[in-house]
Amino acid sequence: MNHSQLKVCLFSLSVLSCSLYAEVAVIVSAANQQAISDAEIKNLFTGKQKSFPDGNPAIVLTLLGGDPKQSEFNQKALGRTDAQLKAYWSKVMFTGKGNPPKEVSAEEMLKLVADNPSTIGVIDLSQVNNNVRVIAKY
Amino acid sequence: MLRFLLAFMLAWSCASVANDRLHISGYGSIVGGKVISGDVDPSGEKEFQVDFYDYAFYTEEFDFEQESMVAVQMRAEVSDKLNATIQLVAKGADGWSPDVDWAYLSYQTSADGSLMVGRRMLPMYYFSEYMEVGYAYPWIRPPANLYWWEITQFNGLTYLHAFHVGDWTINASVFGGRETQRDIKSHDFWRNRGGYYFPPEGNYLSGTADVTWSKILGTNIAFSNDWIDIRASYFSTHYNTTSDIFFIDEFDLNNDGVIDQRIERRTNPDGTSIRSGDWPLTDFDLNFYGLGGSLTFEYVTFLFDYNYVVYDDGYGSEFPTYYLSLVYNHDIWQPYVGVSSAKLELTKDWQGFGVGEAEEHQILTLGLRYNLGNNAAVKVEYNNFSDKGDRLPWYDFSYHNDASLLSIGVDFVF
Repeated sequence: MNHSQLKVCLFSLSVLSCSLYAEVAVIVSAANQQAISDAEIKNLFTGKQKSFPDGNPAIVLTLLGGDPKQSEFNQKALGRTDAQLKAYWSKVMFTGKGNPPKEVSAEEMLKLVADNPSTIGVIDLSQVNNNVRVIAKY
Repeated sequence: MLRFLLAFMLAWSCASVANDRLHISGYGSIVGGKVISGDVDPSGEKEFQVDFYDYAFYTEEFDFEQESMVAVQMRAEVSDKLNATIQLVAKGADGWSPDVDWAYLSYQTSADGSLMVGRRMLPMYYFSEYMEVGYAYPWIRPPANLYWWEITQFNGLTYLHAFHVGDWTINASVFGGRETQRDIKSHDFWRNRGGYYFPPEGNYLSGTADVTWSKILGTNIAFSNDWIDIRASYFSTHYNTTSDIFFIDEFDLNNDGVIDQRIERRTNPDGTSIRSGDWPLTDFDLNFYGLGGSLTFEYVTFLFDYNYVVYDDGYGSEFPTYYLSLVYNHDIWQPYVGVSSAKLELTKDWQGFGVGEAEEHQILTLGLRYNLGNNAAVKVEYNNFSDKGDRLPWYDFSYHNDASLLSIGVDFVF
């Protein structure tokens, strides 16, 4: 197998694994209909961007620390292990440049995101209901 | 007094806001180490300097006090746009007496702009602003031969603005202020190591010195996307250091050519202590230039920092320094390597001393970080300090010789 064949093979494997385990969803309120890109999701969840593309301030929510779905999102969407992300937030927080997202349980997440069009959060895809809108899957 | 007022003001604003708007967090490190090999220094011991701000160093005796520290941060949301933050830090090297390291108010001027007023870390090196937050970086400490300043904080103003261009975020800041550190250990530290630089007039009384950085004025600009973070920094300041001195006045009362009485004079006519005078080695302008960053790949992070410091002192001292480090990011294990190098070049002939290269040292670092859950990390690190300045035709300004250090630590956040 040559190099490019190997790459194709690895690529299809990763696509396959993504489709098999595409179980983390980024959600906003059903009332929030704007398009949000992957880059904007990354910026919002790392505190680099504090508002939605339409200019309204964003309240970012994550699942409780150690939740496997949150770890999966951190790894797949942000490209960071939990420890790397925690180290990143320690830097941001203790230099006065920002604060990590508020951590909530899955139940609170669904309720808070459904009720407030300013929020954006992460949830297990199987728990998504009609009150929230999925903007990305990982 | 200023610090006390700031602390009081912040404590008051913390106390006056509702509990849900008060956030308490913190960080700390327990670090122990010992020199495992090396040559004896001018002080008579085998030493490894790790923190010049607190003059912390290890010897061949295992020591847990030099770098262990704990910090508590309190942030009060006074209003939607106004935050008050205070950080109290207690360090083993400082006898565990709590110090106000940070105390500032930050005001959100717009969605992307904020103004910070008060006491903060001075943004010099890439890691300067969080050099004490061990959990935030892979190593036990940032390279000790770069991060060797007596002044690491300042009182003043910072304006920070973020710009978004495509996938990039650009953070630009300007800052200005001043800082004085009193009774720092530098005076005796350098006197005992043959590096005396105070003016000759008078007898030196205290074992400590005061250092002031006035007219601090600088800027930082950082470019980042999801895998690159590059930061350029510049600032200028006026450096001044003094120490308490005394004079012995001699009296020949009957004019017979023999001194009849000697009186020690420690104070000025107005009752204040007599301070050492200024001369070009203790009073000069300083310029700092830096470029640092991190590149994060799938499994590996590359970190670098290049800096150039220029003193307009008697020697025309110039300090080129750099740091390179590579970290492998496994979920739990993060092995790392690093190399840092610092050099001193004399560009002006001070009292016939001559010009040329005066000092160079390098630290090689090997270590392993093990992440314990999401709040703590255990680190084991080996550092090899090598003095490269002790060769002709160099002036050997190195006050420390070759040494190897083994340290172990736990960093935590809460």
